[in-house]
Amino acid sequence: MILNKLGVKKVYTLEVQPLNSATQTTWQFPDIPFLREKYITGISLSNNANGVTSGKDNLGHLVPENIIYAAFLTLVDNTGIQFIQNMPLDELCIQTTINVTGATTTTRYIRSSNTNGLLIFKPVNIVWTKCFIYLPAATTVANLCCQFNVYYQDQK
Amino acid sequence: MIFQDYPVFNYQLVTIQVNVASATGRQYFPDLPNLRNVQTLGIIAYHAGVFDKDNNGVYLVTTTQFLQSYLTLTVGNEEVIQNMDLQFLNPITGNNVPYNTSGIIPLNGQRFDFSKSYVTIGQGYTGQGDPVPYSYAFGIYYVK
Repeated sequence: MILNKLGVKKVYTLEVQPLNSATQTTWQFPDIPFLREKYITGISLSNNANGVTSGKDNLGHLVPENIIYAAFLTLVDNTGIQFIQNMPLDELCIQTTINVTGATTTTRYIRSSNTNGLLIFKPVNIVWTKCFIYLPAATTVANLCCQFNVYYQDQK
Repeated sequence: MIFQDYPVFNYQLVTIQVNVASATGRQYFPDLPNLRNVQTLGIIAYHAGVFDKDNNGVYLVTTTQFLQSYLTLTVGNEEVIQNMDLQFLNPITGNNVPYNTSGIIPLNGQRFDFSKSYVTIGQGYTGQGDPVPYSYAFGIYYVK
């Protein structure tokens, strides 16, 4: 596990909140002034089956599993390059088993600590306002937020 | 484990869409301009037990068919990875699909020619009940 090797230095929690009853297929990240000059070294996503169940700013419930399995993340660096293109949100979850409850309940599995655990980036300056979560099919949401833990450092 | 030695530089989700039921034989990658002449550090293969649909809204390959599929990657005119079981490229547990406990296989920064690379579906596979179209999805970790 690379985090055991490198250690977690600094973490910032950011949240993406789609509009209620959203029909968009793209959810943009907000501007995050605090992270503008930071170099991001890793990112993970919380979901409402494991860990906290509501956003830190009372923005709503954390993203449910049925969206995690149907959404993709794109991140853009400060040169305008989409260095992460359409990464399934599963890849950012570091818990183990989670359940999907819908018409039928199925047990899904995600990247766990016995495989690779948290994804670590080469330190990169991210332009958050150009980053987005893409859903091939719009999903109606209400009081929902996607909460990311962003690991960063001040210097490259 | 690749990420102990390499961080993630770049990632791209790529898919091979199959439009024919009960397809067998080779299914080639589409042209991927963004991945021409890049160094590939690792590849993850996804199946329907990981997520339902790809970024085009197409169903992923079923776990049954996933276990009867093989990947061939080409560098220049040489098939350097020949018919590797997709399960070896799957580090994510789920749906009783075997997974690689050592994580993502390091691919040593090789410059694959994806236009000459393909997935082979086992000849014995009948494909009954599979949705059409469906897709093979891969996460490509690379550095330019």
